[in-house]
Amino acid sequence: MKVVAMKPISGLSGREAVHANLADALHADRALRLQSCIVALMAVMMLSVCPTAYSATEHESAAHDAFNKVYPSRAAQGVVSQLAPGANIHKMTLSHHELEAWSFVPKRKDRIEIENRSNITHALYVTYPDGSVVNLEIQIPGDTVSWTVPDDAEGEYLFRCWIHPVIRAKMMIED
Amino acid sequence: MEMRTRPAFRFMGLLLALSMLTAAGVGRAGDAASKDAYRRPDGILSPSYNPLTAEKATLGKTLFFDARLSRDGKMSCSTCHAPDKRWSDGRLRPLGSEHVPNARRTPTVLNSAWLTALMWDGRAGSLEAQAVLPITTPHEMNFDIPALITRLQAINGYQPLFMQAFGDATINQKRVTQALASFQRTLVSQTAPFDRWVSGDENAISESAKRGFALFGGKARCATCHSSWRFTDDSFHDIGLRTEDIGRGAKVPAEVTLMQYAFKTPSLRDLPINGPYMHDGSMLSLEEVIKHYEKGGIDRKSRSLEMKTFELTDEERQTLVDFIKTLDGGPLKMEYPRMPE
Repeated sequence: MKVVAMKPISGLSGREAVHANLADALHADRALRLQSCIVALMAVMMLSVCPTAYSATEHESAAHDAFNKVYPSRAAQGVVSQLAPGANIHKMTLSHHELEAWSFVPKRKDRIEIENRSNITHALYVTYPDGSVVNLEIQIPGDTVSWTVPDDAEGEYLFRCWIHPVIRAKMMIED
Repeated sequence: MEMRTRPAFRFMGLLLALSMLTAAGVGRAGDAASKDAYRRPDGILSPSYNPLTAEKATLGKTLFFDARLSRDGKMSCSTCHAPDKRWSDGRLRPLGSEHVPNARRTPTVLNSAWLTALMWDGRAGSLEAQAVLPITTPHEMNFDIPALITRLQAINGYQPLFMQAFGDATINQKRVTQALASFQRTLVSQTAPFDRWVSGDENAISESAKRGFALFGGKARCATCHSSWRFTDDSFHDIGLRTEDIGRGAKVPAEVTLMQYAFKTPSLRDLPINGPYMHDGSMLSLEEVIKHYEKGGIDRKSRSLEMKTFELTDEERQTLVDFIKTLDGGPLKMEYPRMPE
């Protein structure tokens, strides 16, 4: 004979329906409790993973706030000059320790936007053919900095990072 | 016995189980990927303008151990980069630097073939350029290059070595520095327990060290800068040490604030177990170093944005130390060269 018994499930709110022989009711209850414990344990383990990820995000966010207080980017300050008529915007990507190869051909007055897709801070600078240096602001992960090709640019422009000298990329500008 | 549960309840359990399995799978894949990032290279790097040859390395080795490269004939490169001191000197500050303000600890020359910036402040861009600096530094070898070349030219025994290395017996600065750089490129850390673990030997390091490795790339974020098989990315950071030395800040434009008090990230391979550590030799144990990073050091405008405080238990700290010890491959076997007459 089978009956439907409503049994409380420890650790969970509500009740769960269980079909069981009366003779095995006690064993069924224990089995259900065991299953509940396993599921609860798995849930706890999952939750223990999630906060780690969330706290990491919060940490990065806090770092970003601190950065903004100390090193406001030119873009954030709205001091990036307007794009010249006829000029183009080109995108570059900074991975962990590398400026990824680009396929565009930069021209004078074009703007090069470089996104930091790594998880570390960079501080790029451009060395001009005459040896002068232009800093591109400190760039935390996810930040984008830009460099506008000078009106009279010609020759080899070298991108490097003050923090990571291994980062090195040459860009040729021709009239 | 028959036991049934609601479909929604079963689904939740299944979802959780799948989530756990997925997470575990990702964890294992991530672990493998992170281990691969530390895999040793197959060969030794050398620049096209100074390809590595056995003959140049042999000449460079002789020069490296020759005290006649110093003005008073008492100090060779190996005086401060000693084979039995892991190619450093084991001292808090270098020999002869007692009256030098802001003297810095002697770095190892191990694995220098892969360096992209040399010296604590990165003022040398190659081993060839760096080779001149200790020879001409007053509190080190205190010599000048023209006088050194004249002295070497007077040593007949060097002529066949230069002949074999460069095709003729001409002795000049370029050849001396190229030979010294070539020898240093041959100084590569021996295979360490960690390398064997990366290669698949699960028993090569302890379980504690494995947990330390996880912390190294995880909560402690050491791998942010101590990356690659050398456990450095040759980057420069102000890690918040109390120092008057502005380090790389003296070599770059003043407006590059982050480089004030910044020094090069040192390799973690073959560390002397009792230090000294840091650019100024100010710490004598790995535990002290780790605690410094936990606290984050002095909070100032130049402090690296990678310096983020965290907290470890004593047990966790010990696992990190256990892991770092697995990066020690032991001293290199070295046959000392016969000095030419």
